[in-house]
Amino acid sequence: MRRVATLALLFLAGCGDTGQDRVTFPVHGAGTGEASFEADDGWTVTLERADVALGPIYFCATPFADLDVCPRAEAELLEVGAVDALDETPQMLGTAEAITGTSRSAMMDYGIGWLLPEPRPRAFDGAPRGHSAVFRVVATREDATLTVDAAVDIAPRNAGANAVIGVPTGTHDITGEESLTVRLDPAAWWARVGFEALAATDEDMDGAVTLAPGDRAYEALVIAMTSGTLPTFEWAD
Amino acid sequence: MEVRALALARSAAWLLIPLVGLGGVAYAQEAPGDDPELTPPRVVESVDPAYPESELESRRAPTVTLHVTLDETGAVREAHVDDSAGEAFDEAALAAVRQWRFEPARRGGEPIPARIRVAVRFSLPDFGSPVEPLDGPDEHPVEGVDGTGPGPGPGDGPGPGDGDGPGPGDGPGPADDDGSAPDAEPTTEPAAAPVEGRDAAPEAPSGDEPDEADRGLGVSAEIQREQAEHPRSASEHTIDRGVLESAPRREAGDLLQTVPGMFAARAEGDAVGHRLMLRGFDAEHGQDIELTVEGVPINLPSHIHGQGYADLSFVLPEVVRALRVVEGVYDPSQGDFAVAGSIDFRLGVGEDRRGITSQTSYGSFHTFRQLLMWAPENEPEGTFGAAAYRRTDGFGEARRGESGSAILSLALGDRPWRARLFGVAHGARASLAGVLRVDDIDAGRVGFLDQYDDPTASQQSALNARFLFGASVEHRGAQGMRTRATVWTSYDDFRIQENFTGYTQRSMVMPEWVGRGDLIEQRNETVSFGLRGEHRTSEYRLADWLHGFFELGLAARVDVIEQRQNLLEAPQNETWDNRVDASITGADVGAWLDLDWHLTDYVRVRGGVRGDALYYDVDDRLGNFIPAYRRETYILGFRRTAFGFAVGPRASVEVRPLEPLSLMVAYGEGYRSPQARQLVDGERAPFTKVRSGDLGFRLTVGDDRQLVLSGSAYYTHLSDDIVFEPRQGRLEPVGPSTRMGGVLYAQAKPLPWLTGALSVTYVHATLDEPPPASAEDPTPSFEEGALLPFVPPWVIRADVGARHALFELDGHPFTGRVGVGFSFLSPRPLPYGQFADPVALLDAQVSASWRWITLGVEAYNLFDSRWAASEFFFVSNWRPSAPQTRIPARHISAGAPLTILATLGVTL
Repeated sequence: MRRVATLALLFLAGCGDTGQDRVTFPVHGAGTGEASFEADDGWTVTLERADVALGPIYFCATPFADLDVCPRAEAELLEVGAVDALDETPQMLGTAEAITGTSRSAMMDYGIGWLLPEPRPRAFDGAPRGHSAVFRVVATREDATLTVDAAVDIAPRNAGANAVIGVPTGTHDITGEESLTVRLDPAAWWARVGFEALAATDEDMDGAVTLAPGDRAYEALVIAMTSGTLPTFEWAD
Repeated sequence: MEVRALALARSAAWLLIPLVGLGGVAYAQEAPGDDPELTPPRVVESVDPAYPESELESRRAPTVTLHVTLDETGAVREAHVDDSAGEAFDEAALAAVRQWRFEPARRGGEPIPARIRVAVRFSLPDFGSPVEPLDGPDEHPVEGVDGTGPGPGPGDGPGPGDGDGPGPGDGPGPADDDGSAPDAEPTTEPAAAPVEGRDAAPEAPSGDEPDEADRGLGVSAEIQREQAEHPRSASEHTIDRGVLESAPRREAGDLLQTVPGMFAARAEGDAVGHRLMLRGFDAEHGQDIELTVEGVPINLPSHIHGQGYADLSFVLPEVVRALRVVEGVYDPSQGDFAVAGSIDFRLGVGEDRRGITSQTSYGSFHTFRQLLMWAPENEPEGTFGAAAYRRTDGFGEARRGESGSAILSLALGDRPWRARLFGVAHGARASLAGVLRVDDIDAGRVGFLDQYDDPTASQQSALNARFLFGASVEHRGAQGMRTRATVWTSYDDFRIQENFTGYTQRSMVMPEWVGRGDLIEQRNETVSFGLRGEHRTSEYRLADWLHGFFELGLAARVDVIEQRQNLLEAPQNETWDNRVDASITGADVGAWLDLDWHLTDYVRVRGGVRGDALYYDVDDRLGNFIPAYRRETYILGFRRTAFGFAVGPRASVEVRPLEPLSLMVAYGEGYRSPQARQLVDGERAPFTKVRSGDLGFRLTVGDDRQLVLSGSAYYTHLSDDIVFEPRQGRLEPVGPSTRMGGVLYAQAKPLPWLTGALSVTYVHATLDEPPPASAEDPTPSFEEGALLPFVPPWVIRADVGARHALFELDGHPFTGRVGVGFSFLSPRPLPYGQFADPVALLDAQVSASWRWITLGVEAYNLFDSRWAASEFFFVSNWRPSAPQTRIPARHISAGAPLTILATLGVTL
């Protein structure tokens, strides 16, 4: 019966198609599983918490995803989800809507976007505690221990734009049969932080530091997340 | 000896002189003639008989056969009835024929008297009558000389030929009470009919019996006038008022539903033209269809809302007497925008509707319409005036609209000179509901008939005004010669505020201004002047089997266009971006040569060539735009000129193996002018070239054309197609495209009171070479070989109407009328592998009239189907408080639900 209906539709529709199809595929977020590393300045750094907001994500056919050259996306994940970036197991973020085509790059937000009609950026539902990322890092060197808390907000610079542009996705033909894992490397982000300098900011010597916007370490994290060590896209059929 | 000439006489509805065409060629089917010395008489001036008022209710379409005696000067000396159709019809036929003038019969070059037989066929003035043709001369050659016997009787095979159109000013001549000419001599008296056939003439008639006398006179002829313009292809149709009236029609655009393969819908409210689809073309607002009213072009070139934009709102459906439809490009007179074809609205008010008419309608959604029409009795059909006012709250949200239209038409003069003047004024304003995302409808975020609850949506509206004036004059000479000239002028003002995409745009002028809503304001003002001239030669007769005409034509127009496009921020409608600010002057001068030649009785060849020169002068005041990040090193603006020439052949061949059957093949090349603002300086105007081929047949059954059946297979190729680009609210190129398909069309009048039409159209429309991937669009939506989106492969249309006198009340007939119209569109392919739902719409009407009063009810979309008047795929953002979607989504504008109107009409 279904075959008859399909044939009837093809007959009525004049046999053929209009090219691309509309499809969906699941998107997951994951970490690398690397929670510790040795910093250059001798500190041993252990990430105890790395909750990172991912989304929305827009996939483009252009080699460098940017709103100017990619006003129409090939695929998009509009949901925003928090990823435990210390867990290398893929965690479901949502389902991407797509049209069949080629993805070469992406632009995305870390849970904070600047919607066109709004005067300033804001966090989307799903962002951990309303931030792009929430970290707790413990750094040790010899007998010194430094606990660093950071709630990072990464917002687009312009309304309607995305915070992170030009993220390579590899050249992938979207068919609707695939699944995607966006892998984050928080250890690499924190590797850009100078812990020696950070320890010097612990004025009350209590071994705890909370990063704030404008702090050198905070800005280093933002740069790492938006251009230094970008998420990687792993496609699986 | 026999002279046989065939030309169908049309009666009563001696319709108007159209601005671009009159009359029709009487087709002469030559009979065997073997006396080279004998030349038959030829009609040089004819007057159409009036359909007797007393017979209107009978709805008969009889034929009266007359014996007519001509003297040496070609004047009618005597006429009497040979085959009666009743006193009233006989009188009308006699009165008309007595006013005819002939070129006398000749023997050896010397004029001689003659007796001929004339069959006058009456057709109902409007209901179910064939349409008055536009082209062709009045003169009907009476040809073929044969000494073997009487000519064929009435109805004997009219050959292919253009029809003839009697014009205004023609009226019935004085008829004698007894139906015979008082000065007539007895038809059987030899002295009164001394035309001599080769064999019998010297001997005079052999007896007193009329038939014998005819034989003895040696010349017998039948003259009929072709009822309709003769088509060049099987895809050419004349849709008369019988079909047009069969189903309810709110406006002139609805009349287009009767065109085979056509679907017309109002998707943007009462002040924006219909969206049109014809035979595989998503013609938007007219880009692919040459639309004319009485020959005056309606399409507006380089319009900002769409190339060839055409709004027919100013045409009141009550004054449309016929549609002349040419699908394909086979007639050299077809000009710009004749891509899918050409449609001419022909105006006139038939005899049965003349007088002063008031028609008041009220119904669903507080829709009110008042029509006043003035069509003086005893004046030509082309003389009338009409005005209408309409207002409605509209279905669903934000569809309130008001409009007013007036049209005045005067038909003047008499043969050989005739003239026509007409003027139109129209204004309309309407709110627009705009488009809706289908996913929003499905999720219940917005109702199907609603509008987005957003200031930028609620500010959508449109306004249109049009003024049009045209004048034509025509002279008809001997032997088919005809000269015609038309001048026209038009003013059109168009303004629309429409938001397709919600919140996606960024100001070009001030890039930091974003998110203020994509309310596009378009303004277009066009002043046009045009003229058209045609000259058709007398008939050239190179041999008995080879004769025909030449026609030369010229059409020219100048358009002065002012256009702007801005972005507005609702609700104050502050301008927050400028996109277009341009002045355009465009000119189009076209000329054509057309041949119309008969090769024997069975083959007719027509065609020629047409060339058009186009000129553009564009002052693009926002050209060479300087982005904010660049230093200003020059002053904004870009002036440019361009010129181009398009030339293409058109040809058709018709073969008539049997009298009622025509086999036709046609080929033609046409063009569509470019959007002037997209031209660069010095560019050779890149025309859209269309190549069109058609192979088909036409079968005519019955003396009164009870059934006309045609079928064709067609092919159309466009060098550059265009589709709607919603981000800019305008049409953008998508490369070449091809359409192949077939059409079956039938018009039937099986009974005098019953009229019907059915068309079935199939098309396979594909993109041949879409724009290649670019940096801006690395994966374009359109792929090679993909189906053209939005084009319905199957279009079916059926119209059936019946009108009949039911009984008598107080000595006057009580007439009832019913009619239905049904449209079906198969699922339309949409981008990204989706298909639109099929559309099935049924309209119906019922009315009753008695004496001067008519009561009726019209129902549109009787099944209350939920349907989309238009569908689009593009990126939009109507949920500005959520992350913006950037992949194209399906959008629709809702079609009208069940609408019922009651109408009270009074005719004095």
